[in-house]
Formats: sequence, structure tokens, C-alpha cells
Amino acid sequence: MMVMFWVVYKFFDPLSLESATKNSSAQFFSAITAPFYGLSSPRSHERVAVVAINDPTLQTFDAALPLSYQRQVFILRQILEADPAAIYVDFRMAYEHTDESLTQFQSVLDEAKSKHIPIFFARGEEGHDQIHLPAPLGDVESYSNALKASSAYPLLFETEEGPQEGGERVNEDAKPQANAAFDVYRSLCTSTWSGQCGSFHEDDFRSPMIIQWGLHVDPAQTQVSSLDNSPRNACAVPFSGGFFCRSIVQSFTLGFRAFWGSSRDYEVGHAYYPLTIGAHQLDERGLGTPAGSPPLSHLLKGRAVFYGTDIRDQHDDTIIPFLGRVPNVVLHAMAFDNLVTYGSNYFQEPPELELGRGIHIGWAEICEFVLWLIFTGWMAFKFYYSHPEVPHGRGAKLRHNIRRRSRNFLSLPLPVIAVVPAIFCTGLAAFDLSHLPVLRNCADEALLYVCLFLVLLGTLVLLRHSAQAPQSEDAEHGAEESEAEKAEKLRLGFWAHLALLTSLTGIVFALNELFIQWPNADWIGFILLWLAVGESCESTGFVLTFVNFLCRQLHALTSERVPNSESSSQ
Amino acid sequence: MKKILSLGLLCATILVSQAQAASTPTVSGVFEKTVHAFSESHAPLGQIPASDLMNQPVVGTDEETGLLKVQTAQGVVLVARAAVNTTMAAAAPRETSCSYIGSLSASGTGSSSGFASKCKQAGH
Repeated sequence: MMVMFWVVYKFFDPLSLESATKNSSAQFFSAITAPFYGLSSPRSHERVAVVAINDPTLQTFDAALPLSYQRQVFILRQILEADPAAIYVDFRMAYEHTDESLTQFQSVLDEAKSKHIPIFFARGEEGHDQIHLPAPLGDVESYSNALKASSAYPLLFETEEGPQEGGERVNEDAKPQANAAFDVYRSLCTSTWSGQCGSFHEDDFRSPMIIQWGLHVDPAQTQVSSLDNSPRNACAVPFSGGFFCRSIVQSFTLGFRAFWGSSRDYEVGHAYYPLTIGAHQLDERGLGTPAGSPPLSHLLKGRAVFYGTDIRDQHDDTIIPFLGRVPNVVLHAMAFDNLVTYGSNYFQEPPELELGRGIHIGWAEICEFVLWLIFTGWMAFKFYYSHPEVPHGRGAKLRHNIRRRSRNFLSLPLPVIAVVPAIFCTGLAAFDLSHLPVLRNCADEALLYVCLFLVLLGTLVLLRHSAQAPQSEDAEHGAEESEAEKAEKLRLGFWAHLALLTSLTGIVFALNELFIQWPNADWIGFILLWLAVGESCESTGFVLTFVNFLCRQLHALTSERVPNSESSSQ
Repeated sequence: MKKILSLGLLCATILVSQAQAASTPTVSGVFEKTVHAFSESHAPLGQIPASDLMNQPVVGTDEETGLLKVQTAQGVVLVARAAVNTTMAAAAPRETSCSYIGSLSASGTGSSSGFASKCKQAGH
């Protein structure tokens, strides 16, 4: 019955319960994971930057959007002079201005080519009706999709393009079409960064990315902008701010706020993770730097630069859980930073299984389903063999053995029991920390596993108490149970169930972060339904009421179909 | 002798004035078709065509606003420094002005109209 509930919840999504839960829980998971993003990679932050046209830029330039090609060329030349690793221009120039020609960009393309700097121009969102950019930008066009409905960022597109109208253009490029961040990453990994990307295989990047966001700013951001506008930025500079800015403390405090839904007022004013510079600041020196310091454009050296708009009214933005509204040019830059940080082990949408007739089922769903089958199977097994009228056979013996062994285990001294979660957490911690290149991050990461150990240990202690209570009752009072004892047993059982749920969440979260790397929010439905399992045995509960109703209906139906067996026998 | 002296003086004057003209920076490019202009007393003059500014001498910088003073047929006008290209020798980079760059509320409440804004002075 619980499996049936799961199917209804998962696939029919009544009242959008599943999707709404996913969205709101994404807020919570972003809050607890964001303080840790980037700690595991020394290359995070260092390889990406955003140059933005923002309100102060337009004010300084005495200009309005769209900017003239002459202005765009001037800015791109400034960026090129800084020797960036690559440039992505997030302005869609699908149609020429009436009084300017796109050929003005030819000089920029030539200069980029001579300096071996890959450059791309946004073509817009992927789609069959999306037109190609006019010459000379057509050869360097790249899609600029934001997040899909599933909150995933596409990297590659399976587009089969025929000749365009008039047969002018045939797609001769064998490479699959890519989205902004991946196009830049692919071009660098197959050229100047070939030694830094490891073994690069394009097929490893087919699954859309679940972008992980960080809370820390690039250390150079303090030269560009002030962080004083928002208390959210008190801990934005990495490795500063003392105890309350430790990643583990931030994760707890932000997670606590997000858990209770009080994060809405918290999502304003976060400085962006990638270095972001206003285009008008490129020829200015940094805040607080002495006279004669180089201009801010020198910060772009060796980075992939994403150049676009950072203006709210352009509607070129996306709402990110916990962070609020973020410009899409920053989104592309963050996706690129995820690629640099994780390589092909980026967080991704689980792959899907094709069932035919356009029906797909994701591996996350399959995985959840299998887990549900195991759990519900175990519950049905326990429920069935605990009934006094069920004949004692192999099943009952097996249940008795399992129960006896688990009680034996739980009756061991606590230090002995603690060895099991200790080994589990040490194993995970050793695996995780061995991948950390910088030792200064180890303390926060290690503390996470200490927390997980404490949660598991707490659960075992509760289970131990609830297992010991019936034993002592058996010994002292026989089968008789007073109302107070029953209430105590129920209370212990409830807390043990809740602790088990917390432990399960912790284990799934740790395993997912380290190995599976699917969206954390995908598991929340599973966890919430597991919470309802305790309710399933309550006589007044919805589940049992529903089950009883179905049983009555089924019984009535079978009675109608089968003629009265008693009368027939007579 | 007088004739020779006066001819020499004339040549010298022409040479000096030409050298001075060559050293006077001019507007070498304008990024947009029109540019917002202000009078020397900072009164707005609306937008003037880019052609009115092209190749015109830059006679200085307004101390108060940092705008460029450009001599045009209509007189001296003030324009934004970043709105035009000039032949002036590149100055050392000046310190960037204080600004905030960051995310906005998804609901739009309690946030400014743009992702980036200039820092406000205390008490404003």
C-alpha cells in the first residue's frame, strides 16, 4: 500500500505535492551545502570571472541598452588586452542594428584568434526555430540556455540541424551543440587547458548539471565592490570572520533558518561566487589600492570571462534557491566553475530509462522504488509474523532470529555499539579528505563526519532503550502491560523512528554528496513518506483507514462475483 | 632686416600655434549616436549629435563632476568621460567608486531595482 502511495505521489504529483516539496527542500539543501562549495578544489574561483553591464555602468557610459557595437567592441578589446583564457559574450546579436554593422566585431575575432583565446557569442535558447547569428558571429555562436524546469543546467544538446531557410547553411560541425559554460570548458580542455582537465571525454557531460552554489566570494572581489550592504556577506570572504564563519557553523545556522522557512528574508544581497566586475570598472584601479596600481581588468588574466548584463529589468535572470534572483551571466559562470571544480563528477540529473512510447523513468525513481520495496517488504514481513494467528513456520523463525540478533547487538555495551558508526564515518571521512588538496579545509570537513557519527550514535542509543524496555517488562511483569508502560513504549518508539529518519537522511546525504551526486531534493519525498510509515499502523490514521476501506470494497466485490458458496454447497 | 625679422616671427608664431594645436587633445570617437551634454554651469542641454563632438578639442575637466569640457561650435559643453574616446594621453587608473553587486530577492520585496548599485553615503 505504501508503494502505491509512493507511485501516486511520485508520478501523478497530486496538488503538486512532490514538486512543491522538492522546490522548498532545495532551499534547505542549498543552505547547508553552499558554505562548503569550492573548498575541495584549489582551482575553484581562480578560473572564472564575470564582466557585467550593470546600472552604474550605463550611468558611467551615459548609455542605454542595447549598447552600440562600437561600445561592445571597445569593452571586448579591454577584456582581450587582459589575456583571459576565454570569452563568452552573453548578448544575443541575432539582428543587426540599423545604423551599424556586425562586421565591426571582425577585428575582435581576429585579435582573439591571434592570441589563441576562444570566444563565443550567445545564440539564445536552444530550439528548432532559433536562428543562427549573422556573419561574422555565426562561426562562434553558442547556446545560452538558463535552467530547465527541473532546475538542471543543460550542457549538451542533441540537435540535428538541416539546411536553414534558403539552404544557405548546413551544419557541418560534427560536435554536438553545447550550452555556454560547456562550450567554453570544452574549447579550453581541448586546447590551452588540455593538461589541467584530466582525460576529457565529451560523452561524460551529457547529463544536465545541477549547479552547486557557493557563498564565498572571490578574494579579489573586495577590490571591486563593497560587501557591507548585507549581513549575508559577513562571512563571504573565505577563511575570515572567526568561529561563526566556519563552514560547519554556517551550514548549521543557515540550514536551521532554511528548515523553518525563515530564509526568505535571507535571500537578498549575497555577493556572487564568481568574481564580478562592472564593465565601467575595467580601466579603474581597485578599492583601497594605492595610486599607480594596475586597472581591475588585470584580474581577468587567465580566467574564462562571461560578459553580459546584470540588470534586473532585462529579465535575463533566474531564481536560485536560498540565494534569490541571480543574473544569467552569473549562472553560466557558476556552471563553468562547477565544471572546473568537479570535472566530469559534477552533480547531475539522474539518467533516465526509456520505457517506450515516450515514457521515461529516472534512475533516482528506480532507486527510490527499490528502497521502498525493501522497506515495505520488511514492514509487511514484521507485521504479518507478529500476528498471533499466523502459524509458526520458517518466516516466523527468521523474524525471531533477526529480532534476537538485533536485540543482542543493541544490548552490547555502548562503546562496542559505537564502533559500527565510527567505522562507517571514518571510512567516509578518509575517502572525502583524501580528495582535499588543501589541508586547511580539513577541520570543517572532518567535523561534518563527527556530526554524522553523533547522529548515528544517538539513534542507536534510542533504539537500545526501546529494545531494552520490552525485555525488562517480560522479565518483571510477564505479558501484562500497564497504560503508562504502553505510553512510554510508544514514546520511545516514536523518538527512535524519528532518529532513524534523521540518521537515514544523514547517511543518504553523505553517500549522495560523495558518490552518487544526484540532486539532494530528489530524496526528500522518499524521506517524508518514510516519516508517514509510523502513521500507517495507527487505527485513526489515513493510511490504515484507506487500507480498510479498500479491503472492504475488495471483499464486497469478490462476494458479488462468487455466488454464495454455502448455498451452492448445500 | 625688419622684413626678415617679421617673417621669422610669423613663422615662429605659426609653428608654435601648430605645435600647440597638435598637443591639444581632441575627441577621436563617440560610442553612441547622441551624447548627453551639460553647460559649464551644469545645466542639462539634452542630447547633442556625436558629429558635433567629433574632432573637437578637449579643453579640460570639470573639477566638480569629472566631466570632460569639449569646445564645440555651440560653446563649451560637458560630457561623460566614458562617453567619448579622446587623444588624451592615458592617465593612471583612478580608484573605482564604491558599489554593491549581489543577488536580489526572488519576490522582489526589500531589494533595489538593479543587481548593482552605488554605495550610499552614511545617513542618506
